Amino acid sequence: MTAEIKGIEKSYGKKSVLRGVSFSAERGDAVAIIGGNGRGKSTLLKCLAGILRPDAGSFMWEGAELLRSRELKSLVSYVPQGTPLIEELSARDNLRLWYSRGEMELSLEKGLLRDLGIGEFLKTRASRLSIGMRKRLTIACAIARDPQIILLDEPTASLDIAARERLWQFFDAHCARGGVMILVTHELRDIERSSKTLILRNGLAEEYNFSGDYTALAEAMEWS
Amino acid sequence: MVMRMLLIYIILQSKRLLSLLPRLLIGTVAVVIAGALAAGLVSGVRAGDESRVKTRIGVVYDEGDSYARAGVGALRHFDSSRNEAEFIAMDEAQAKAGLIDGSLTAYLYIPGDFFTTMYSDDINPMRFVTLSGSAGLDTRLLTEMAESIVRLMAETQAAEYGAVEYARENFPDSNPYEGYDDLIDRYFAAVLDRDKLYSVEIIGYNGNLSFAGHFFAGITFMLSAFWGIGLSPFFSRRSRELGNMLSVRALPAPLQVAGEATVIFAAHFINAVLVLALGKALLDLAGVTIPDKLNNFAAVAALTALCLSSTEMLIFELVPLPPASLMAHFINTAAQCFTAGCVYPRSFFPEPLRTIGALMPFGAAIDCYGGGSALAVTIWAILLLCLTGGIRLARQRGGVS
Repeated sequence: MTAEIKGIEKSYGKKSVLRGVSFSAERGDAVAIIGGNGRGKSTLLKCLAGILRPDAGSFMWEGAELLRSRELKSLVSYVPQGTPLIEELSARDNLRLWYSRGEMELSLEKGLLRDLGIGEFLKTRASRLSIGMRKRLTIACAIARDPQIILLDEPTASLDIAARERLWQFFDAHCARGGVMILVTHELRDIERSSKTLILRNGLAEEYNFSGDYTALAEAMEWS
Repeated sequence: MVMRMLLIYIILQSKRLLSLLPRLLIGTVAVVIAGALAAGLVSGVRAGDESRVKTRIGVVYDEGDSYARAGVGALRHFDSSRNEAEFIAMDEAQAKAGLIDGSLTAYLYIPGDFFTTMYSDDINPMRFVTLSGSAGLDTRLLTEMAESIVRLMAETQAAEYGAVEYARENFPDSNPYEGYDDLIDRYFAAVLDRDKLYSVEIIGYNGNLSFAGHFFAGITFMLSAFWGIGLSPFFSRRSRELGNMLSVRALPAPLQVAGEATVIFAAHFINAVLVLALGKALLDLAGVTIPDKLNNFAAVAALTALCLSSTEMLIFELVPLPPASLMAHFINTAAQCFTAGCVYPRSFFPEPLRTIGALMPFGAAIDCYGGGSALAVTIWAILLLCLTGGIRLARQRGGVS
């Protein structure tokens, strides 16, 4: 296995949110994580990104432990649910935090920034961007160093069909280059386009094969 | 890599702040000018004790009368009145004209026969003439002053008589008037000219600041402190998600705090220099000078900025969103300014409050205006920033919102 997550545990005080989450992914996989609200999906991503310290568990990449390693910063990128942008500044200024001037120009010309269509709104203030543009800019900031693993927290929420399709084209391209994507989502389209779906309940992750039966999916997610 | 990111973070945060700063600085200018105008209207812009313009008092007397000359000489030498009043010899017509045109506050009329009638039953009294007919404080003070002058001159005269009598009784063969002028000179020099015998030391309101210096420091510090409320959009629009992403990539929470604090420090420094310079200019216009130690604007402004920026970093980290953050800032500023002695000097307070006020960050900062040590402010700033960094780190690591 290229990426192997084993026994991730996390508690907030006495409340145990993750009780030993384990799963694995190969290069080129897009793993969708679903589950009811408050089940620990975002917590899991933050643990894998190194923002939160898990109480136990490991995150291996090609046999090497990432969680307490410097490699984590170069191999893993995290795209949060909210907006990690400086609202008062332009898209270009926001990118300056993550890209050197040369890297930015090169990427705008023939790299990831061009694929994401960032050039369309480079001089626009972040606060004036549409939701889709903001999401693309957020992803552009997160993937600055072309990471192998991208962790995304509800990347397509509130996006229109065109914006969502554009993002998925980018995700597909990343996976085709041998990268891994782990995304938390509530969107059926995301589940359909993912190579693997995990459902998070009772603090554990189970693989789930979506057959198109929405009622079964709702029951599985403890919605009903 | 970390340093590059920190540098860019500081530059970008500075750009953010620049969108707010011009409006806030214009506000500062408006508030300081409005405050000075209001103070001028209310108080008539009274001068502070370092620079008070002397009260000019005319003295009308017979210059041929040696006793009167000696008495007026005594007045001019007497140190308490010398600092406050200037006695100018003139005739009565000049004195009345001076009163009318405002160049004199009052005049003292010493009748030609005052000294010869002084010990008779038919004394011809001195007159202290002032224009004011009101019963205000000025009139009362002038009345008190007139009484003191009369008493002083009479006692001077009595001392001279006494000395002559002593000479007659103990040195009957000598002419008692022979050394009279020398006697008078020695009397002035040894008894009345008392500032040669002691030095004046003012136990200041704040360090060694005078009353005027203290209030200049207090008001400018308070203006700078409340100005920080205007920076709240800078804090409230920060993205917590950006903090998370930065800490994952290269910039841990303590460095994020350091970067933001640098920018807030710079903003407070610019504002504090503006407040101090503008305040000084307005006081200069009003004829008031401030103590030399307050003229080192760069040092005073830097310490003010250090204290205020570190305090605000902690407050807005603990309570990031308005209106709670604004309320917290306001309450902290008002309470600390009061206990620091910005409104009333700390010496007015009971001992426990005085001690607390001196130990708090604002108290330590305001003491620097009077030449106090910068160490306490620096220690407080480091402590507050460490606390801020610790809280942000705990939030990011623990996922506590």
